[in-house]
Amino acid sequence: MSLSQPSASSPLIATDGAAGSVARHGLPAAAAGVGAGLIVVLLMWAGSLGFRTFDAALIGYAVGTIFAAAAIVYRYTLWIMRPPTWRYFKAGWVNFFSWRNFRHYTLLIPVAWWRDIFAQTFIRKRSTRRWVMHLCLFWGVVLSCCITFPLTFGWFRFTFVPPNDYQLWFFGLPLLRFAVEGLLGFTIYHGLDWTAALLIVGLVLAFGRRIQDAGLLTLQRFTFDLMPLVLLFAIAVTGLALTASSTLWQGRFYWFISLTHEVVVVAWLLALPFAKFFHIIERPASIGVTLYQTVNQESSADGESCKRCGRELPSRQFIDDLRGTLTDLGQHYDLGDGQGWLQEYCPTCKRVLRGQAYYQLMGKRFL
Amino acid sequence: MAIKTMFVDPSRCIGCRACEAACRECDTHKGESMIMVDFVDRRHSVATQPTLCMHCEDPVAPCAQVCPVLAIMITPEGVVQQAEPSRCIACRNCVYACPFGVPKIDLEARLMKKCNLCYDRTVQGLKPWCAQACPTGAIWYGDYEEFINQRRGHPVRRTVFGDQEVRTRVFHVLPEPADRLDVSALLRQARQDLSREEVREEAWVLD
Amino acid sequence: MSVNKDVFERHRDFNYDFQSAGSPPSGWADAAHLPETFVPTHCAFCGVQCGMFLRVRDGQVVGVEPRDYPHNRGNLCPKGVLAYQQVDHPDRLRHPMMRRHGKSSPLERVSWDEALDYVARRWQDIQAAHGRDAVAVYSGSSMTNEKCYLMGKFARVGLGTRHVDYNGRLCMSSAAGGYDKAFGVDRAPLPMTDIPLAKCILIAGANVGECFPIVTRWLWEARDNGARLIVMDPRETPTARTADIWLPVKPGTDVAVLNAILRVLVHEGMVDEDYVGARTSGWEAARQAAESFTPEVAEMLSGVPAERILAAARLYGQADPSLIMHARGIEHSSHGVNNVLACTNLALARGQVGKPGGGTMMLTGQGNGQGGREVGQKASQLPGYRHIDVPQDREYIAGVWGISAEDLPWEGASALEQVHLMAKGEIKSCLVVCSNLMVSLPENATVQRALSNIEPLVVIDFFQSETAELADVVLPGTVWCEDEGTTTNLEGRVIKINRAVEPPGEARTDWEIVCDLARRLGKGPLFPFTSVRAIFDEMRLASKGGTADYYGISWEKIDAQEGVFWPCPSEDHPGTPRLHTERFGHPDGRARFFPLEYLPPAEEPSPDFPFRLTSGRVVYHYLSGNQTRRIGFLNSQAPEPWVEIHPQAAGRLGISDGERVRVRTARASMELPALVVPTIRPDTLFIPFHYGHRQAVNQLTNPAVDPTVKIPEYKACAATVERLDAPPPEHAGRAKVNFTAEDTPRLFPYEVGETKAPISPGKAH
Repeated sequence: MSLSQPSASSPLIATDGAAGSVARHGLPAAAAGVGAGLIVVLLMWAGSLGFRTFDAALIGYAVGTIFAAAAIVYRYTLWIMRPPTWRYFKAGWVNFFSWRNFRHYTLLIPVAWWRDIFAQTFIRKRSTRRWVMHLCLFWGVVLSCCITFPLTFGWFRFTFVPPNDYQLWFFGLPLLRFAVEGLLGFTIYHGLDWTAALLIVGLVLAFGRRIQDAGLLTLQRFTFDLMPLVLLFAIAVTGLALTASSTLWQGRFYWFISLTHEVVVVAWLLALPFAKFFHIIERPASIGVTLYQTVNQESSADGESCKRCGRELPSRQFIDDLRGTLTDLGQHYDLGDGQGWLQEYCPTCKRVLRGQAYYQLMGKRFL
Repeated sequence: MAIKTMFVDPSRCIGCRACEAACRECDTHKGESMIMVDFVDRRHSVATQPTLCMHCEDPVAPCAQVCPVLAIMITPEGVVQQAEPSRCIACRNCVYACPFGVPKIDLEARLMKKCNLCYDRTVQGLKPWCAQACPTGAIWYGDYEEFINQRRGHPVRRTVFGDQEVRTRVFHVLPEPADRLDVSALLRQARQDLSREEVREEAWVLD
Repeated sequence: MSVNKDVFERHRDFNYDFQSAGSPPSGWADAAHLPETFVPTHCAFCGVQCGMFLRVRDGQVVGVEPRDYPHNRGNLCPKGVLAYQQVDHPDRLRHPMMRRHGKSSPLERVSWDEALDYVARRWQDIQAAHGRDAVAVYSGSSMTNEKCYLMGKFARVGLGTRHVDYNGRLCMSSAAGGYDKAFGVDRAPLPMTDIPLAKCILIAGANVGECFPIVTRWLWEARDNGARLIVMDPRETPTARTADIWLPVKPGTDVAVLNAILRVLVHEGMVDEDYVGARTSGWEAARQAAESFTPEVAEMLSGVPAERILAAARLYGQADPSLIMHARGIEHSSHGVNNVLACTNLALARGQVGKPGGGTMMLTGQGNGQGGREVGQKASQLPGYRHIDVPQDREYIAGVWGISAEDLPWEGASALEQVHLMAKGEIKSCLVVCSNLMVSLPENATVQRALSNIEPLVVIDFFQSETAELADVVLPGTVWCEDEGTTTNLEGRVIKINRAVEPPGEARTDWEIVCDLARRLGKGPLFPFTSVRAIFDEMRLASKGGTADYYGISWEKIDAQEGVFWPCPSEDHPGTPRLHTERFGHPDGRARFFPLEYLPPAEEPSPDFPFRLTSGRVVYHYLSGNQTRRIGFLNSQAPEPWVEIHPQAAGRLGISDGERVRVRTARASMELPALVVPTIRPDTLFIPFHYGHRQAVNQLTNPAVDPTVKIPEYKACAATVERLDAPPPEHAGRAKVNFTAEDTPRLFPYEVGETKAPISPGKAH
């Protein structure tokens, strides 16, 4: 079974030559995965001062995280080894370390991070409502992770400083001291409640879209498109219920709720490298592609142009890399007679070429 | 073969772009057309040709194979889907790899879009919008036997570019029995004919 | 389609550009919501009237869905797909507007009461001072039968004016006149579904692929069955491209070719003598008139090679059944009726008319072009195709309308004549409904002068058309799916349009506006209508016993039978899909042949104007473009006009493809991009006509008209084309003028339905 398959029960199969990729790169990828798992363990050990500050109640989360890290790295490695990805990966770094990049594009990467990852302005071009929805989900998840992971790994801990202060420790270092009853304290205890609320806003928008939009209604797949939302919703709701249990319900159902929460969170962690959530891991690649496109486009002195109409093509390196990728995949679209590769024509001209071939065959005949 | 698919016969095309207009009515990409009508060469003829995604089967979906982020997926029936919006990073590999010039890309929205064979309509037993609207049958939807029974011409599903053969889910309709549409060979012929073009001008138009 | 949109934006990269097809206004972009209801109706554009469903949600039309109707089988052309986007369009007129302080003041928003009171008061004053005929009604055919009927009645009963005419005059009057003369019934004699039965189809002057994309469906089906196709057109249209024979005729010389074909039929024994003897009259004269048209003579006159004419004649003459389809290409002519009769002569000589799949078929252009000309808004007609100068017809209609026949006005001026009367000052005010004269009438400088010369010019429209811009009072009407009613398509099939949504803002349906005006003119009791159905029922009664008899048609029957073909004289009558199967419409039951001489177009090339200029349609636009130019996708495909010119001519003049050039006639000049293509005769120029102001080809066209039916000669005038840097001409130049509007030879003595002279004394004009 191809690992790039979005999900076992999904009607979609991604065909990307990954089956061959598993055969060729399976072992190194597995090794990288195991390595990553070990590194996480090591970090836990270091952050919790040799497990002394580790909260044993969080053992489920910790183990889930270790396995998730291993799976993510395994999957990432396999993905990066695919011919088209590898070309971009390599060229992206080459461009990154090029003098031209540092000289002319110092701001390119920070701006790209801001635009593509933090502000996600491209989603706004798809639709403003989707943009708001996705920002809520993105920041809800990211902030939750920023709170949860350090807690789980024992990187954060709190100690009581009489008479009425708390001391926050990070990696064994004192970070912040605040009043137990103060506003800051309240905000910190309920940090995950705020992020959960943010998540729920995003989820409501997302569900709303998915039950109203006629196009989505027919196209969406439960496992691929809806399951992730359900999972996030379960995490947010059980998380809030934990707070509710401790503050409103005098701790009733606490054990049951916390177990449920743990189960859904671990399920989410393990789902990260697959299906819809894969985009979380893959998305930063767009930074590399931006770099690739900008730096290369600039470098080809007079630009690369379509062999027929003369319209601008992305860049010489792009066309060469694409031909290389296709060759790796065993495909050769060489038209012969010095007409070049099909990839050296713009999309319109490719269509017109086929039209002309057909016209040569048909002339003014009618079928 | 009871599989329903598309048959493209440019000889019947009148260039009205009803398919383009109709494609935009699809709920999944409202307002954007995924089918293209092109003039073959307006300097010589009014001949036009519609292009929709051919849904390549062998090699399977070159667009998906060159996608660095696994954004293009294929249904078990062999329908190549447009890019998964959460993954597409608008690198344009698919746009230039596609031998038929099909994928369209919105660089600002970082999203490739292409024909999904109107999945939303076909699951309900409806024809895809373009074939539904097409007044001339240049775009025709149905299965192979139906086509053979109802129409003239010989559908082929193999297109050749130089040494590369591509088998597609969608058929081209050819005038004579043939096993494939050899684009590069025909283009070579066309270039040879073009060098002898002066002869073809008819006397009557010389006023 | 003859042009690619990159002609208009040379430097745009259409590879990536999603917006290049015109983004829909926001309402439709977000409208991917599930519709609540599907309203069955028909397309608003063109005479085919394809069946469609409108997708409606929250009181808004959000899309379209195919409808498997007998004549379009679920197919739609681009106009049909996008017709729904005019409904909630931001340009819609939502409230009445008026120039409160004369022509130079701006149009400002007023209440319905103020606008209608003003109009009614002005009309009463004008009619008191200058007579009833000083107010005219200029109507249109792109609206339901009920509205068209009401316009005729309103003019003659509400206003009591003789001057009522409609834009079908510019469209179908040649075909109507021709069929009336030849067959005695003005209707395509067979349904579209018969087309696949034909074994040979001759298309004369119809760009079927662009103007009637859905008819192509049946045409191609006929070819699938082995039919041969002959296309007569000065341009190699998409239909002509794959035709068996293309006859590239000089604009305006069609009779030469058609007569030559008739002569070949005679000389090669392909005339159906039995049929001619039993069912027709006048053959001998027609045969003799064709005798001088050898293929060589025809080649000399028309520019079509003699061998092609011969080959076409043989293809046509050997096929049975054979069908001739014709449209504005031959009809927009100063002898348009002749051209149509040349077609009917051929079909009658072959004994085809009345056979399934055989005969002739006019391709009606406007949405309700067929129905609009039957229900009495034409200057010479009363409802049911009755003639206004036949005493029995007058009596009958006066009875239905509840007035005395004495009070029923006589025939008035035709469309173009109305304009001349406005320019002369005889007509002081006009109500324009469903028409855009500034784009659609020839030589529009005169039109502009005429419209500026009247006060008030009252326009009912739903968009601010080029004509409404000149109006003193603009009243907001409804688009087709905001009202219900019937239309009659180009086959004579009466179909039902349904209401999908409410009119926007203060807009009202046209029939309510007109009834309201009638009330304010003191004629309320004669216009007691509270529903469209009530108008339909009166119209049915008015048509009873007429040629176009709707009496037996009901809305329920239309739904049950998927359209009813008139005549349908009684409730148990199923309608008449095929006409002339037993007898023709003339009293003796015989069809008529007509002897036809060749007459050149009114204006021909001269050294100053060496080209023949012809105009025509683009698949993306409808009529004056007032609707389609506002719909993003359609407009983006053809946002402005262009001139098609052959490479040989362009080479001689140093014009390159895409260059802006100047086209001049004796009347005016305009600048537009050149499309240098070999798909047009080298002596001919083509410009599409859907555009307004400085882009209107009707600045250039010749206002000569056919003397009997008054259709303008849009399709042929003398012109020249030059580069923009060419020196300005020393004098305007002279075309070879064969006739003018005044002295065009009369082809026939005036007959019933054409007379200007009222029969009863004292009413003379």
